[in-house]
Amino acid sequence: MNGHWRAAWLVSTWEFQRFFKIKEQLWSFAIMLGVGLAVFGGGTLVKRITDRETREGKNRVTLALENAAGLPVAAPEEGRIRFEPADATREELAAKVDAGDITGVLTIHGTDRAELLVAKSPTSWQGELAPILNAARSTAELARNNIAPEAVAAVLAPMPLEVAYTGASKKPASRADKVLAVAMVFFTSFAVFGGLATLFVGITGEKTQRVTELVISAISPQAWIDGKIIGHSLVAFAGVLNTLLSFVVFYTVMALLDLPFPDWIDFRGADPLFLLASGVLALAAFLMWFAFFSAVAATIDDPNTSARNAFLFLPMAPLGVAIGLLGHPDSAAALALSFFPPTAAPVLTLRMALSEVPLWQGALGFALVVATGWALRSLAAKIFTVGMMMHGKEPSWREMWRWAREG
Amino acid sequence: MSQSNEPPLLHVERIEKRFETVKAVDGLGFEVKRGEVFALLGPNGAGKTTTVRMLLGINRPDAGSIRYSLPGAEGASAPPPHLVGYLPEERGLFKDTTILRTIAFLAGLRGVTREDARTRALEWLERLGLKGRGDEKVEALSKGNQQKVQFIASIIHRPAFAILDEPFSGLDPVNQEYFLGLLRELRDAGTTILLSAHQMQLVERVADRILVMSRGRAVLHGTLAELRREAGAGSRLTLKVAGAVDLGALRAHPSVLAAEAGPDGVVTVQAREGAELGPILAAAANVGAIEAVRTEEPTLHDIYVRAVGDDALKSEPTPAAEESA
Repeated sequence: MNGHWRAAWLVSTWEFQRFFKIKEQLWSFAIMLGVGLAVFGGGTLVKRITDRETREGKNRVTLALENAAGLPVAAPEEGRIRFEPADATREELAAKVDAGDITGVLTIHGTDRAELLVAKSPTSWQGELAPILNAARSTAELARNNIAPEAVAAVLAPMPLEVAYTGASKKPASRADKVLAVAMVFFTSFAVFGGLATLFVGITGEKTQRVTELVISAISPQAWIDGKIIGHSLVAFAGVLNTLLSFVVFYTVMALLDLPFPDWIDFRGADPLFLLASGVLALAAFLMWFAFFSAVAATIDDPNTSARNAFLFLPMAPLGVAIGLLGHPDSAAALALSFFPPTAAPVLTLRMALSEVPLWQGALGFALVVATGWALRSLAAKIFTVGMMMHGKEPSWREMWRWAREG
Repeated sequence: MSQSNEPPLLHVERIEKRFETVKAVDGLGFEVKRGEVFALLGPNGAGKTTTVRMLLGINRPDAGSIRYSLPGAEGASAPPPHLVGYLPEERGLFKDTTILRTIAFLAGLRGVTREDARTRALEWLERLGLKGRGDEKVEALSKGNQQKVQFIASIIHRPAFAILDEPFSGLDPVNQEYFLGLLRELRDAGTTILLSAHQMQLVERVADRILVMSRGRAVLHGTLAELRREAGAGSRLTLKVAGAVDLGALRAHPSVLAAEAGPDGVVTVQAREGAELGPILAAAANVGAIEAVRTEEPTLHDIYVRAVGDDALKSEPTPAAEESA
């Protein structure tokens, strides 16, 4: 390791040790796990309890059925709704509803309409009643028009479509790859946003504490900025790793408790090459953004009041662009944005999952992201050299441009 | 001090630095000899900090040259980090970390291993009255003690050349005296020191040579004796006079630079450089009834105030210049 990278590594380990707080990470892990289990597991547990209560006859909805002959309705066994014949006058039935003996009175007017008499809003179970009525009405209408149910099913059935590929084409990306692509784009943004806070504190805080001059009298500004980028990247990666770990534990706990979770979250069958390519792109994009933000931070005098804080939202723009191109992965816009460094990584990743990306396009997009990151890193050091010793005012855009040229 | 045939450790030749509309350093040149304490003095805004930053390579001069003669860096315009120590005027520490870790990190930047840094830091902390406090956070220390930690961090790697900008600020008189001793000790151990400070009475006790800056230029340069000659300041007489005081004869005397009457009959007389005191004392007999006489050499403070004050007066626009402006 030469002197430059030795110094950069020293700064990066120092920054990592300062900003990676294991106790806070453990708390974060516990909170994420707890919230995840509360949201998904809690909902499932509540449903299980209510289902059991339904089976045991609790929460039952009992409806007195008037004019049942006009439309034969049948409630499914596993549901909450039960029908009983209306064997009393309308007034007596209304009194029973008011007394809570039955939930309501359902009056059938042929296939035209049905009328429901209740004492309380039926919102919680009306959604269950509607399919029962719809099914009864469909059956009655089919019978009245002499249409066999099989004929209807044949009419409504989708047209099967089988896709075949020529030998030269690559196989379509699996669903796991598509999920992985979205996850990769999401976690890149998560890492960038998660790490920005410490990166800004690490750079502007040092300026506030008047330590900078002492440090850069010993090492080059480039080594300092490289160390900052690497150190705070490691802090951000540790945060992402912690989040991923909490996801793994979350799903393990869900599986152990036999609780269902979304079936689309399944990375089995993901292509390792796709994982590698999207991972490398994500890493390059992440470092490029960190180089950019280290340059921005070097110009900020007071992070609490600086208008330049608005730059923090910039990484959201490529995300929006990439999502907008989901339906058009082979469009001219998608191709152009594959070579525009801020959007290259998410657009290429999604294109790889949704379509086919020639190797040269992926390589060129990646090279442009790396080159931009490298240039931003040099620019950051030049701006920092002068900007970090300016106290009380922020350098103007003109000054920064001059430093970048003269540096 | 160095042998005369040895090249100077630092040779600065007509350096200039301009910021926007201000010329912070204007044709400054000097040498720092090996093993000496070289004091760089001047009022606020004289260009000292800019000069120091150029000496360290943090900023580059617009014109002129800086050349070091250091092992492995012969002719270099900036010193290698492991050979230079720096205590900046604008200073601070990582307040949220422990003292030992902070020192070890800063020492590591100058090439000291973690183990060596820890050992040396513990020794220095003990010497400076901070024994047992290495694991405390920096923010727990008083300003003076933080100053000690900063000093340790600037010399822990045993540099050949140390640049100390205001090393006495924030220290009480006892610790100022102690630091004075430390500077002498460092010099005796072979470290060349460039010192900038406003405490003239301390500087004149430790500096081998002095450069006084004003408005980016050198206005005085040399040993204290040379400065006295250059400034044209001779001995100072202090008279204790009973009764009425008449300074007319004294002020008219050709060997007298200035004569002032203070409270309680104290009269201060500044003689010209090289003037004999006998004729002045004879003239002083006319001042009044003299009860006591004391003579002393002009202090660095006197020389500094006079030199910088004269330079400031030169920079004042004349009425003619004002009219033409």
